[in-house]
Amino acid sequence: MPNANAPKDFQTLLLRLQEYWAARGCALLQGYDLEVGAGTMNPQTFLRVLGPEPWNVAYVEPSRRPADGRYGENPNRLFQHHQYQVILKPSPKNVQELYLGSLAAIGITSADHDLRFVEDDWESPTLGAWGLGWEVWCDGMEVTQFTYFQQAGGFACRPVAAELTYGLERIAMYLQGVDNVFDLVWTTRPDGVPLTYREVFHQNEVEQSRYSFQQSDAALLFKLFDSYEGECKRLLALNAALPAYDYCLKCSHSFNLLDARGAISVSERQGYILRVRALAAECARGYLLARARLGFPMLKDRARAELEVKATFDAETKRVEEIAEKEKQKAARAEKAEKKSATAAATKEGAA
Amino acid sequence: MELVLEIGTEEIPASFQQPTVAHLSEQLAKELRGARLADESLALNTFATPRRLAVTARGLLERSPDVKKRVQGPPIKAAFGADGKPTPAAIGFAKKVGVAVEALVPEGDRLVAEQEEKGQATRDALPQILARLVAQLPFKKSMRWGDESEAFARPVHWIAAALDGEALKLRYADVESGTTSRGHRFHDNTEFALPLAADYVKTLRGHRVLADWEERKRAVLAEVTRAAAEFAPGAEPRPDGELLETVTGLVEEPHAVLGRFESHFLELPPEVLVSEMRGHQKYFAVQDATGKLLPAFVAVSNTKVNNPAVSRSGYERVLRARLSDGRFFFDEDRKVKLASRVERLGRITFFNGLGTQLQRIARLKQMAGWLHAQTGRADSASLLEAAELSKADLTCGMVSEFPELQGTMGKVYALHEGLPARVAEALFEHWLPRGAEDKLPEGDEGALLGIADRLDQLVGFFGLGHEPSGTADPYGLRRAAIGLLRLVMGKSLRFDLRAALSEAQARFVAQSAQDAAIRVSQKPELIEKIWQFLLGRLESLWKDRAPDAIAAVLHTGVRDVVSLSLRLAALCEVRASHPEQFAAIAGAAKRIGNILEQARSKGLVAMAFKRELALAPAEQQLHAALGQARDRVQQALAREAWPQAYGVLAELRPAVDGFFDDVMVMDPIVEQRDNRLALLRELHELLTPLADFARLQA
Repeated sequence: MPNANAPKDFQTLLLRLQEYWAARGCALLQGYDLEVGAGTMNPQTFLRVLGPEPWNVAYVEPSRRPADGRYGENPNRLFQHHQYQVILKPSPKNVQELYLGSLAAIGITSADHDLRFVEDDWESPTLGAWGLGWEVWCDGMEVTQFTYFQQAGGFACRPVAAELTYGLERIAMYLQGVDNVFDLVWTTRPDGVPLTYREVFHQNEVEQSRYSFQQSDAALLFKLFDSYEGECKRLLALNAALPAYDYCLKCSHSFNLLDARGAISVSERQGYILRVRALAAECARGYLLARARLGFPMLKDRARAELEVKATFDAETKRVEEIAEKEKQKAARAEKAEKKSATAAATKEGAA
Repeated sequence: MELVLEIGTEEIPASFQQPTVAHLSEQLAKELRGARLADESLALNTFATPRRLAVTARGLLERSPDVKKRVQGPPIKAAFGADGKPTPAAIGFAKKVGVAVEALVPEGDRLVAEQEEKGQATRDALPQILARLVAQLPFKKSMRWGDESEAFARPVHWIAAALDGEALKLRYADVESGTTSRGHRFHDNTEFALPLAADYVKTLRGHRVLADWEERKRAVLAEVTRAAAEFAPGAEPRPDGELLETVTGLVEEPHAVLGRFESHFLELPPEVLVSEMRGHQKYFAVQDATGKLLPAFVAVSNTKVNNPAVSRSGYERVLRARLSDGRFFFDEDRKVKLASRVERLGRITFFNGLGTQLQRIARLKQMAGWLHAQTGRADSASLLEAAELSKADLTCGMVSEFPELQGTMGKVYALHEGLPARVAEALFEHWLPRGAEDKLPEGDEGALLGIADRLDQLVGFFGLGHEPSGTADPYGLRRAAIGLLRLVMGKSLRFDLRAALSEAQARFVAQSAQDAAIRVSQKPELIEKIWQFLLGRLESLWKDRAPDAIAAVLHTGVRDVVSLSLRLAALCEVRASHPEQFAAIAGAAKRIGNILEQARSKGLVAMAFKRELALAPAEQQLHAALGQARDRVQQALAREAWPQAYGVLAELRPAVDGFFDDVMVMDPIVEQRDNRLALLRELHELLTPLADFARLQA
């Protein structure tokens, strides 16, 4: 339902949010230049929520979900949609008020709309991440995913980051009062003729859907998945967590393409998810250790930084020792089993 | 004195609110009584909204009374040396409890110290107690925020705590307690003084918060009813207790708005419409006086907006998109018949270790057939067809969107295809009962299929080692067991349940011979374990019966649950209506049981009774009476006329009494002894089908 104060087109909506969050101390960054399914996968979220350093950013993330493509024929579903992602770390005490302020900035106020925070638990199996929070409803429509990050890559988030993920197309459709996403006005040309979402993205939707469901080369994608996975592991061994994470993202996208193509059976599916998850966890560890080696430079309180560095390395040492101990036990068991079978064989020979 | 405690938070999940304040109040009462800060006059009230958890307590004492406590010390023997002086043990004890060694006094064979425990002012004791209570509130899921290490359901923003209106100081995470509360998030975003207990509800109401759960629930219902009637005279919200509870947990002050949808959506099955409205949107469906759905719904907002038309059009838009999706699924799903969906189940894993849904279906068909053969119930062809199609709707778009419609959609689509009503009904009914309060299937097909499904589930999950432990039961096995037993008893289905478990295990064994992916234990111990689990559930279903009566019946070794339940009813009935007769039978049975048990432990085996060896008249009389009674008892047992069997047995009483008065069983003459044991065994065999009387308390 249009409102006098509502942004008149899609890009004004973006600009309003950018202005609002910039004024509240967020660095305005860009969406990542690799295929991601959500703004959470951008390293500016997934990796930066790890460790003790403060981090406040906002960015637009074009998010690709091959299985959601509908050849541009469905009024609500898209191969690629846009998320507005805000990370506030540590989560400020007034984060709900800040968020409601951002809605007011785009013309959505509690005086005119039914705004509610409805319980929602968020979890990403591929990222080994979870958090609690809400989906925020505006007149019954989910407009934002609001999450207090508790864990990422298997590491507890300390401090906790608040993540706000706005579904931009939905919000824009609501503000512009249109029922079909392709009818959204992106901006208005100098001659007064609107540039529509259809003109900007429809062909991409058609071709990408066709590619995802019909034209993709499953054999190649399987090969790519394996190669990306190998490269990710190789880079991790070289302490290159950020480049490694890029390959982890490529794995994830290859998996999504294969999944959309129906090339992965139900029983295999879990296996692929676990492979990506294992990579993500290692990238998280690599990144965290790299920041610790740098002394968590963005932490103002240097005494605390030293403690955090020490705690991070201690935890890592303990983990390495535990793994070594497990290996030792395994080797001992194997040796025992071997001896046993050797004895059995000897007895047998003796009997013969 | 009176206490008011309010914890202000960000929006807490609806389902957490009531259980949390209930726990808070219970623990508070426990702590107050434990610290002697309250007696019987303590009165507690709880309040919960999305943004606050509160408890008020009235009748607190000013301070806890002083009490004398006795602390046990060392034995007197060890407390004094030969010289009569206290030993180090006595001195050490006195020192530990803080009294002079001379002050220790004897009590029994020990020394005790009398300690005076000083009472404490309630005002001084409370802050610590409250801080502990707040910190230890349990939640199904909890979270940290900011730099804090404490975890709560959602971040805490304020704690207001006052004793008789005066502040109690406590701290939790980054919050220092105060004495101010806050109003409605949008309508009254102000701070105000925490009221006294008696004024709590009224004051908060003035700040646009209905703090009392029941009051708020009534207000939601009144609002929803009012809005529904706007659609047409006689239009009313479809009753939905669960949704009402949820919505009550989503608002602090309810405002209902009526919305409409296009009437062509009414072509969708009503279950689908209701799921679409309540599931994602938490809207109430609207119906006419006859219960027919109308093209309208009611949404409940937490705010009174300037122009309801704005919200309404938003509510309608969202629902319209969802109903269009529903319509799409409904049309698409019906293009593929259920029978041709079955083969797709081969690609869906039922559970890792239990094979695919198709393999599950194969087992269900065989189990259903077995149950039909055992019970003679249900139409065989319909039963098998229903078993074949029972999981086909899993592959429907509608069910993947609304998992709670599984079964419902199977039935709807089956009827649409023109399958027999019996088959269609069974596709839905075999899911019943879905919970403790749910109804049982009407038809035998649904009942037998439901039993087969639950047997498969129990044997499968137990057979993978996933049995429930403590309160954790992630695979719903307790519910499955209770459902199974309710089906068997409620539908009077007669079969050997333990044998049915073995049969279900045999189905898995047969499949794992073909497919290594099926890994259910093949050990016979598995069956015993599940059987014991089922008996445990039976006991919980019979919790209004005397435990010793249950034990007595369960130990008859009968595995037909209906029969067990009839035996139990008869036992309890006779025991209550003819206590003397019953006591006589039970007493005799116990006595005979003991004698036979002793004989057995000495290695004496009771052989057949030989009449010619019976010398004593009492012996002959008992044998004669037994001869007359036997046929009548057995006939009564065969007809399951349990009270009648008890009646006949009661008639034996004089003969039994005479036998025990006049005859010594353990006669020194071996032949006599063995003959008498044989007679008693015959009598005992007549009693054992009724109950294991040894388990009864006198």
